[in-house]
Amino acid sequence: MTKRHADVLVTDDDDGIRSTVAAMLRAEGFDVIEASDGDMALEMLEEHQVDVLVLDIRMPRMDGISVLDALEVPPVVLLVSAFSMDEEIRSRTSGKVFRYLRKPVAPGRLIGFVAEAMGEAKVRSAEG
Amino acid sequence: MAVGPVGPRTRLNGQPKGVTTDALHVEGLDRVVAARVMGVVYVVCGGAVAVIAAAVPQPAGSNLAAMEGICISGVVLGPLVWMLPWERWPRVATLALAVVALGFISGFDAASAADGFRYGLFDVVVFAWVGLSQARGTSVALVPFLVAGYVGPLVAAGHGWDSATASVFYAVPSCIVTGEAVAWMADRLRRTQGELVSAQEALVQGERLSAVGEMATVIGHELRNPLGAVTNAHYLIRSSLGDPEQVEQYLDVAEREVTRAVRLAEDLALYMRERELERARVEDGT
Repeated sequence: MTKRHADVLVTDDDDGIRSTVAAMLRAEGFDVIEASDGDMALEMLEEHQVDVLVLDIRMPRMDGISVLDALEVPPVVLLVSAFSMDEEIRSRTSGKVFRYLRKPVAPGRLIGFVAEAMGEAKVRSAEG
Repeated sequence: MAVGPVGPRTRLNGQPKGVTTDALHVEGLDRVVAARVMGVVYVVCGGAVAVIAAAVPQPAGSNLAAMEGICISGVVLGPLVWMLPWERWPRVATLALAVVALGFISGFDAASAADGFRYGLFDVVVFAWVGLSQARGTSVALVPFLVAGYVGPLVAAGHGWDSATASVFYAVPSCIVTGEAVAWMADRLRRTQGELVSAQEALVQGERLSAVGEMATVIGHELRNPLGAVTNAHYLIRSSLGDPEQVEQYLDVAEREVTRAVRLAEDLALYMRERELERARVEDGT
C-alpha cells in the first residue's frame, strides 16, 4: 500500500495545544495531520509517510515514550513535555529524538524548530 | 528532616498545652496516677501481709493484733487515697503517702518485734514509687524518714549497736539506689517518648509540605498547556486579522484555555484551604 505523505504529525492529547500548533504550522505552509494519543499516532504513521513528528510525552493510553519504543525508524522527532525531561527519558529516547522541547514553546521558535526538522528529514532522505 | 534534642516546646500526647517534656522531667509521673498507684500498694501489701502474718507463727514478743491492725489500716486507707482530689494539691503532697508508708512499715517492725531488715523490702518498694513519681534526688530527701522509721523500732526494742541496727548502713543505700535508678530510667523513658513525639510531628509536617509542594508542581505543569494554547491562539489571531471568522475561532480557543487555567488556579486554592482546615481540625482534636 502506498503511503500518503504529510510534512508534520502533531500528537498531543490536549485539544487546545494540538489544534493551535497544527493551525500555526498550516499557516506556514506545512501539510499537517493530528493525533490525540499514542495509539492514534502509530495508526497514522502506518498510513502516512511523515517527515516530522511533534510528540507530547504525557498522553492517555499510550504515551510518547512508548510511541518511540514502538518505532524502529521514527521520523525526525520533536519531543515535547510540560515536565522537565530527566536523564532517564533522554537515555531511553537517545538516537530517536531530534530536539527536546519544554512547554510552552513560543510559536516563532516552534515554527523554526519544525523548519529545522524538515531540513533534517530532507538530509536523511537524501542519505537513504 | 533532622530532629533536634527535645526542646521546651515539645508536647506529649494528651498533655495539656503549655506543659513541656522539661516540666515532665522535673515532675515525674502524673500526681493523680502516682497517688492511686500508692493506694493500690497500700491495699495489696497490707492485705498480703495481713494474711501471711495470720497464717504463720510469729516470734516471741510480737503483737499480732497490732500487726493486723496496721495491715488493715493500709487496706482501708488505699481506696481513700484513690479517691482524694490529688489534682487540686501540689505534687509534694503525694510525698506524704511515702512517709505514711514508711510509718506503716516502721510500726509493723515494732509490733512484730522483728529485725529492721526483715521488712526492708517494703522500704525498697516505697523508694521505687518515689523514683517513679517524683523528681530525681527526692529519694535522698526522704533519708531522714527512712532512718527514723528503720532504727526507731530497733531502739525501742532495746537494740544497741548490733548487727540489726548496723544494717541501716546497707538498707539506706539500697533504697536510695533503687529510687534514683527508677527515677533515672523513668526520666530517660519520658525523654525518649518526647523525642518520638517530636520526630513524629516533624514527619507529619514534612509530609504536609511535601504534599503541598507536589500539588503545586502538578498544577504548575498543568498550567503550561492552557498557557501554551493561549500563546498560540494569540499568535494565530495576530496573523489572521484579515479574517474575522478565524479571529473569532482563535478568540474562542483563548477564552476556553484561560477559563481552564483559572479553574486550575481555583482548584489549587481550594486544595490549600482544605488542607488548612484539615490541619486546624487535627490541632483542635475535632
